[in-house]
Amino acid sequence: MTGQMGAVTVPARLSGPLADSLRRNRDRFNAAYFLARRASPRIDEASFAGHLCDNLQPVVDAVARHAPERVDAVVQALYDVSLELLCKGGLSESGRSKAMRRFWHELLPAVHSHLAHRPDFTVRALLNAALNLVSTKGARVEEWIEGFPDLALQTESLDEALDAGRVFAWRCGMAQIRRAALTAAGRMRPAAALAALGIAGNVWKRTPRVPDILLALTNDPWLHPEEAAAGAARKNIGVRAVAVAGGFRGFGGPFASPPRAALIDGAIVLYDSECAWHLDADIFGTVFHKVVADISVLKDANILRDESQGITVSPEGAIVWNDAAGRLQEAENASSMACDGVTAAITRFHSHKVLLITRSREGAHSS
Amino acid sequence: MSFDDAISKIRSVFGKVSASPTHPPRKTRPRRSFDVADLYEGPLDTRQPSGAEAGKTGGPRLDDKLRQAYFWVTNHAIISPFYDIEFNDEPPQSFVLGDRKSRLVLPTDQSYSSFVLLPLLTLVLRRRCLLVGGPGRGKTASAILMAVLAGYKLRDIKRAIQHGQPQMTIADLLGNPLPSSLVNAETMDDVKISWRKWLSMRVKIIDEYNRIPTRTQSALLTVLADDYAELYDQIYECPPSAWYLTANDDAGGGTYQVIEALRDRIDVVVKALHFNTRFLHELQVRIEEGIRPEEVVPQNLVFSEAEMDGAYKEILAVQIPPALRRRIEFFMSHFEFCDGAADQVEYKTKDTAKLGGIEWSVITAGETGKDKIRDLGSQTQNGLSVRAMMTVLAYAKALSWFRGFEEVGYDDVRQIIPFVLHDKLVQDADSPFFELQEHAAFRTDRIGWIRKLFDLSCEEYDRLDLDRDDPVAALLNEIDKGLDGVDEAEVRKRLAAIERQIGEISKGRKIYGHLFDDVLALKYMHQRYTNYLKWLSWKDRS
Repeated sequence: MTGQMGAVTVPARLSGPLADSLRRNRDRFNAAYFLARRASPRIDEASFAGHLCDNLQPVVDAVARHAPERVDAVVQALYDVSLELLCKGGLSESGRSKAMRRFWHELLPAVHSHLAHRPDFTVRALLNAALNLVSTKGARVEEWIEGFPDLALQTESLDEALDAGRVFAWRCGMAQIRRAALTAAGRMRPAAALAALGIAGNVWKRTPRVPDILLALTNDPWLHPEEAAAGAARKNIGVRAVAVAGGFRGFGGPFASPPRAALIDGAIVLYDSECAWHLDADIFGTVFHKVVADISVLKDANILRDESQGITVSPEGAIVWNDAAGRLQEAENASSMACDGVTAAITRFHSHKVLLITRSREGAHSS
Repeated sequence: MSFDDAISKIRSVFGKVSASPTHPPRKTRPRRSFDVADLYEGPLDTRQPSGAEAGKTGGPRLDDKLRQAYFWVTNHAIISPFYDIEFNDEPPQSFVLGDRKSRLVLPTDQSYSSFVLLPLLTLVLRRRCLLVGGPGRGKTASAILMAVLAGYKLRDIKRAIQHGQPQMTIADLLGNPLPSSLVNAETMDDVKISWRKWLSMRVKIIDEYNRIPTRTQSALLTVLADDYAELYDQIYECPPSAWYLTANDDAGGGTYQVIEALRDRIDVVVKALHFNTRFLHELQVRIEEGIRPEEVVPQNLVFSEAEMDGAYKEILAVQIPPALRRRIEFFMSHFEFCDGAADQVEYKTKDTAKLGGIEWSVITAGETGKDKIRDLGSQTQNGLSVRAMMTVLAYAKALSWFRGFEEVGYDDVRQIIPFVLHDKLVQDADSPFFELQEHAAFRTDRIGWIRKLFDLSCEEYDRLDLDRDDPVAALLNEIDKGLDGVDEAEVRKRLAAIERQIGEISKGRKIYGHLFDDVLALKYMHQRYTNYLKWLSWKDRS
């Protein structure tokens, strides 16, 4: 079919339920496109047409196979969302990345039942999630896109599926939503929560209790869910390095110059000569968020001791943290340290990297 | 009053004099510029539309959502490039135009079109809005948009519009008994009614209500005023709704005269403004593109029932500062008093005169001695009902809420009062006030007239320095604290203060509206203290 849609010429490859629905509600779609073009005169019409053909068709086909009576509602939601995305530049190069293509071609068709039931909200929420993952450096967005549909199948409602998505996104490297993810897991049915946490329930002789697991995970961001399920509680013996984060901006890191660490309102903040970042870090990843800050407040925060947390770092890399002690080569020539009680961030002179340590369990290693 | 005091007073009430900067920039703590509070919040709005799409995620503020709806309507739906509801955060520029020296003001703060804003406020307040104007000016289109924003499907809305026409019967309006139940019923209770679907809707549209026959208007009045419909002794309870009535004539005329009780239930009157021909190209585009905005209202602007309820609660929580409320009281007090209407003080009202059936000209001829230009009450033939007063307060709160404030401001009241009182204050066009050339236009421009009334009232309020010197308010505050523990000596002291105050008023000053209310308030306090004194005496004796 070749036809007009607003000012957009639609290629002949657009066919099937999507084409039929667009034809049926042509006036409405044309009006919506017109209004969007009025609001954003420079919208890329070719991108939009390509997106309709390439990305929406598999989704609509999936819905049509299982709930043909809902095709029009789904197409309307997809069209409106796509227009909104177009106006906001979301169909540009980054929007056409491999991950986003998989989103349209794999994830959305796989959740066709939720899409049919609540099309507008479902597509918006999931698309926001995908875009948030894409924009989080280090987050494994394709892993999330691939794994979410299976988790959603193990849930009973869209709300529970979205909770599973939160938990899984956290496990895919979005450390900044850790708290929200654990809260979400607490809302879910136990079996669905265990699946979202990546805990294979049949491995253990007893069924792990989700509240216990969540409590352990809340108290220790460096505890893996499987360890929590096994009942592995931390015994503080020494200190151990759990992650090295950051890096020089020229090599993809955030820092233009060797950073310093400070504790502001209970949160670890890293700052260099230009900017400051809030750090979220746990077993699944480290995420830096640029913050608006008056850096002059922070520039005197070159400390290696925090009496309130009971931690001291020596220039030689010796660390004393309440009843735990150790020496880490990576902590030599430390320039600053900030500790939130569970994680300590240590910076070094002449290094753009940040060492993260915690008080360890059995099997702690130290140099 | 010193100059500094005067400036402080102006600042405190009008807020038009900018405060000087006194605080040096403070150091700030780091705050996140990016905070993924939820994985599913992002560039796409996940606010829930109505009905089956309701969910848990998303949800910016409701006032923000209504503002977005306003801008969508003005940008895409109703071509209303007017800003007749004006706000200023600094002194505006103004230009003098024409022989009549009309002023064109360029507002400095966000201002709005009444034709779009007032129906939206009516929607969240669930009140009754009359849209007036000539044919083809967008009255019905505006009402339909409001219903779409409330979550109704366009097809259902159009079917539910009640079109006034001379043959409209009560059955057309409300419904019919099921023939089978009518035949088989042994008592009226057995009659089953097939009620019209529009009765269950939370947005009700009555098109050309002044073409509805009088008898059917009475049935409509019951639904509009009391939220229920009655037919064959059966009652249908209607949900609280926003009403939109349209008419080509705002004077209550039309094919049938609108019954006064029905007219009185209208909360706000909105005029459909003329079409500015400079925007003709917009109409051309609509024709060429086949645009029907009501079909493409974004889902994220649609209010669910829960959101409407939430917005209503938030509006009610908006505060009215006592100082501003006092000004509103003062304004409202001007209009009821009519010295010649009765001998008993309490009955000296325009309402008494009207109920007595006396010609208005006879009443006004008897009014002597007062400055009829200064006396704001002389400009009207009636006073304000309780209903009208409550509507003013409700819409003032709604407007403040819409603008994002937690407290009503002076400008909010000044802008909203004319639209609420448009049909409530009956103008006495023969008043000498309108003989002055600069006031002649107010004979037809009721919005401008009522706004002028409010301005004049506030000037008089300032002249009397009532913010600082209001003995009646002081006495009322005192009695509002309660009488527990007040001994006889104190009561006598207060009684004496009240009598002194009445004596001051009676010292030859003319009685204007606000003094009339003051005198009655003083009498009320005097009576309460007198009764309390008697009780104290009885208590001591027993």
